[in-house]
Amino acid sequence: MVIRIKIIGSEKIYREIDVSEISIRDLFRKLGLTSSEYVVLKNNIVVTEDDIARDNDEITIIPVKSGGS
Amino acid sequence: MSLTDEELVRYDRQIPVIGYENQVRLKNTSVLVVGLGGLGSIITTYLVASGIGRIVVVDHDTVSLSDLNRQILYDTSVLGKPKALVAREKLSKLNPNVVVETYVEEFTYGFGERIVRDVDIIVDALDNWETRFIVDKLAFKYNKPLVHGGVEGFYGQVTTLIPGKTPCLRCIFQIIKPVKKRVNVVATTPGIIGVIEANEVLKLATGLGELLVNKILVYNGLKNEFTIIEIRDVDCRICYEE
Repeated sequence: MVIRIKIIGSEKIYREIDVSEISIRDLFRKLGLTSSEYVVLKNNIVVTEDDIARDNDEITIIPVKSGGS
Repeated sequence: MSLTDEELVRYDRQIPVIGYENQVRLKNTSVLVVGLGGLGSIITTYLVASGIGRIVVVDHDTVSLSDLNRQILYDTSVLGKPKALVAREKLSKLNPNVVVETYVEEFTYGFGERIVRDVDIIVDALDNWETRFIVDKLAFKYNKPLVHGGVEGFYGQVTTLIPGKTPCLRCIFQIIKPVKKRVNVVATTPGIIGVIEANEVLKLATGLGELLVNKILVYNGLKNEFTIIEIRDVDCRICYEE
């Protein structure tokens, strides 16, 4: 019952959480992530915060940057 | 269209790499660059230097002193002047063969509709999601490839969107509440991300190499890391919207 999480930020963080299923929204809360500017992929497929991560899923979280000026 | 004698000399170090036909392809390509800040400075400079035929640039802002740590098109003598006009002068001096079309305008949907249909490729050099999503919508409406880049601090990302092959920007970047905010950045980050965006344009125009299509390149300048994340199919809600 493990969901693997990879955060590609200023550090690459790899974590596993022991739950059978969790919504992306709740996963963010659990990880203490608050900003809305992320790309989230479940097994390389883009998902929304309403999607559910289940056992053996790999969640990749990329904090995206909005600047350009 | 062929190359003039002057162009054959100007691109003498590039033609052996990409080939004569591809240099002509660059000359026949028109590119819209939205935003003339840190990213736009770099993107336009390299596209004009490399021999893109026509470049359309849009920015309503004027040059400020605090722009000069990263916006390499400008210097202290042009403070207060419209960026688009300064850019036209500087880019035309760099390569007079390139048609540089400039607009001192805010990029709205209505304005974008007038210019997007007449370009081959669009490049996002913007600093906010709201306008990016307008550009995104127009790119998919008019079936134009869109190269996205974003920066902050020592970090950035690039991806290339192609209608029919990739989801649109809004479907990948699920920004819940886009807000305009001040973004701080070191001088080199827009340089690196802007060059990668310009390189995507060169590949789009020539067909050379591999694009960042269905891939996000994530840059970490503090760790010298370039990470490429692959994206598999996703239902796109915006791409084909009327």
